[in-house]
Amino acid sequence: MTSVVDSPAPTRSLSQDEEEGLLAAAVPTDAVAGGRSPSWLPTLLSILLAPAIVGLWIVARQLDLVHDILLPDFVPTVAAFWDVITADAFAMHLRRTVTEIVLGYGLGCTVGLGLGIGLSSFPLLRKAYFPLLAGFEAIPGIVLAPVIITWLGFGMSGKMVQAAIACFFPVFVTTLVGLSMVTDNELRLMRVLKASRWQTFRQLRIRSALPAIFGGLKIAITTATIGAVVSEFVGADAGLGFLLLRYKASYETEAMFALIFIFGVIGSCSFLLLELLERKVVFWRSPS
Amino acid sequence: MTGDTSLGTSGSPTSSRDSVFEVSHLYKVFHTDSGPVMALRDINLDVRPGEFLSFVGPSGCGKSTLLNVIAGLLPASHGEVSFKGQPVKEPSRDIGMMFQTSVLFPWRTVLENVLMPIEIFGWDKKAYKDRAVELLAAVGLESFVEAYPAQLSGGMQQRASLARVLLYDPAVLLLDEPFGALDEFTRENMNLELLKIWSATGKTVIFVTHNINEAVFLSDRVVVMTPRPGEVAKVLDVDLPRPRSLQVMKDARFGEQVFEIRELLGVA
Amino acid sequence: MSHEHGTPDGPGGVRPAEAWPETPIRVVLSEPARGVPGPRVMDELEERLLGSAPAAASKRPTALLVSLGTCLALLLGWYALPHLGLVNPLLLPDPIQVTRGLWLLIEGGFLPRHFKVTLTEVGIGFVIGATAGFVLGTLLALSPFLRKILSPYILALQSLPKVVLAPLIIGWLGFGVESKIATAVAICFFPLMINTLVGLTLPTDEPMKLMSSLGASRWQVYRKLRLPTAAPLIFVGVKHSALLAFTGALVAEILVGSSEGLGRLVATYNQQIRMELAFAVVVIVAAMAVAAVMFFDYLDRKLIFWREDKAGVR
Repeated sequence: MTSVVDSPAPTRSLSQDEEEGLLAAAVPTDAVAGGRSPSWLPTLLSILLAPAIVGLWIVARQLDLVHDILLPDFVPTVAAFWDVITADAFAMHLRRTVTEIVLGYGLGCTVGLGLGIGLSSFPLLRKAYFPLLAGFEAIPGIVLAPVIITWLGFGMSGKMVQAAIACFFPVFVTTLVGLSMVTDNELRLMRVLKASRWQTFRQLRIRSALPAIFGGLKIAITTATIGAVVSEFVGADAGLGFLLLRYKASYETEAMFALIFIFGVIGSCSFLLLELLERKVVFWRSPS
Repeated sequence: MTGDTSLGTSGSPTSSRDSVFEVSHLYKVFHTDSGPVMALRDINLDVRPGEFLSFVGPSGCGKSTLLNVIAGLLPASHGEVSFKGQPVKEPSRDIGMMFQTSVLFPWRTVLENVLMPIEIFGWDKKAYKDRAVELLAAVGLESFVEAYPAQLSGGMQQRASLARVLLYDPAVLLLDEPFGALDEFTRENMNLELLKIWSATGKTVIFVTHNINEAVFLSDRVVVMTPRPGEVAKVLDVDLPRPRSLQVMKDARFGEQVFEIRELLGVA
Repeated sequence: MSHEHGTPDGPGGVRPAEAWPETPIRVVLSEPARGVPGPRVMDELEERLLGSAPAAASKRPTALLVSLGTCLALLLGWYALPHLGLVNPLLLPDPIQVTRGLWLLIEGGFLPRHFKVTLTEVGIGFVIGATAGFVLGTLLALSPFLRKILSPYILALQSLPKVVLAPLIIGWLGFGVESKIATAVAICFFPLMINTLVGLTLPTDEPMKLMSSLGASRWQVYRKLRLPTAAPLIFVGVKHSALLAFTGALVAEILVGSSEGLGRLVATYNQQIRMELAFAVVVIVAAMAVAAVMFFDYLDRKLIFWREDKAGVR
């Protein structure tokens, strides 16, 4: 890190023009510090990475380095995507899984929020139940999946319940933690204004908690999706997870790839939706 | 004591050839979201050995930036900075710094924090351990040697960080508003302690503050800076007698000097 | 998802007031022992205003009683449901039957054998996945260049529920333990990588100034500043990773009909409608998970003893 601009002559004051030149030459420090490569290079490499992977894929298949069943040819896989989507029942399966996720998410989040808000108002209950429930959070939800299927059958309700259980905990815990994040001075202000418990809750606690709650909501959509899909794996009569297993049974690996991609899209969309919602509701916070 | 250190000389200020620091036509430009900003403009300064120098000015006048450039933490956009005759290219072990926060690592005990520079320099920790404990006692933290920073109040943390910077005995201390986050009484105590240490060791000290009273109280000379762009308005000699106690604030000359600075800054 | 770096304010947002230099409030509470930071004053404002320490302290045993009482009530309810005919006893056996089933499984050697299988799968999967996650996270943290190139791909992969890869992995690696381990790796690797990456790139402006002023080398900065700063997040990631590896192994076991392991046991007993056995295995799985969490939390308290933001432990 050099601090001296080497000039052959002893340094002197700058003229007006020279000063303006200095200002114009100012660049963001990380461009200089990160320095050896131009800023567009990573972006270019990033864009090139995708076709590079595809290229490797094609080469691997051409040289038959990988068996056809494990890694199908590139073009048929892309074609399979189209086939999968336009297949008769696909829309039904898609609708089924999405409904399961949405309903389960709604149920789990409502219960999580409700319990979180409820417990936060009763410190005694909170101290009693929080460690208990936090302990339950650790239990892998899938172990209950077969049990729930046995109780509720292959239909939608089982998946919904599984998704709800999966997403209840993150929302519950983050709600509880978020509601406790008010500072001393904020509470004092409410007391001085003689705010009622409800007003304090509505104006202060809930709003302070919103960032944390949204964090929980974002985690929850992921876990709810996982819950629904795993439940479909264990036993179902319809849905994208069910479809995935069916393609596996018939060795249609291209279709499996296509479905996996679709799952990725669903995941991204739901996450994006939540991000947008968060930006509108928690508008005072810059996104992390 | 192992390791090479050089103690600052406490000779009387002489010609600039004996300067500890020489700043010559220093400009510093930053790129910000709202466009380029000239933080420092044509700064010329020399720092004399053993003196207590303050940079004072409102926020945005570039005093911290100037300190960071002198320390070798920031490169200059134009101009020269030299330390003991050599151009400043990077931070030197002979220059110790304190910041507005104590920057103690919460996962280390106070003692381990104080010894950290020794670790980084690769010197013998054991050899310095006794001295570290002595220094902590000297700043009043003898019963907190094995405590963790979280158990200390702000003032105590800054005292620990002062011990840390004194341990490896740099010739120069650069202090960037070190007591700014403390309450008035703690700050005054720390200032008095700082003066004691300074007169005992003869180090060169550059002290950055926005508090005019503090600057006049502590220093031999005060560099008054104005903002946008950061420039040196004037370098004042503080001709109050030493050693200084709080009583010096009763001296009429004290108030005059404070007001002279206020006028330069436009807040009289 | 990664957690924000905690602030020094505790859940109640209370900071002990700045006391006179000689007697900080915190230390008055207890003598700091070596290696163990003393307790801090962090009660919520209301509790402080309503009463002093005695009132707050008396709440803890009461809370314990309430939770124990509720557990007891739930157990009784569990017992009552099948016996009162509210639920089909075939679908929901009472606790005693489950205990008997548990005993049966242990005696018959089923449980130990399958327990070992699952534990092995989870263990190996966790070690591989966590190591890979940590290494890749570190690499990405150290190289902004690499990060910029890979970030859109990482983002895309993040939104994919990794369980969906399980059938594919099983297709690739067959019906044996390998596919279970690979599934565990696939699911547990990502979160730790993200946490490591975020932890190592947390803002550290002032400490960096200190390190620069001391002329610390890049390696020294990594070891003495970045790594400890990242440690809280990384450790939470490790904990989550372990639980996710467990999930992954169980999913793979359930998917493969011929496999061994606790997941397979639960699936099989459900198919046979031997619910008391199924529930027995569920209890074991639950116990394993809780034990793992307690272990990791204990380790966390010992290793990350300076953790200020207790909420960040999840």
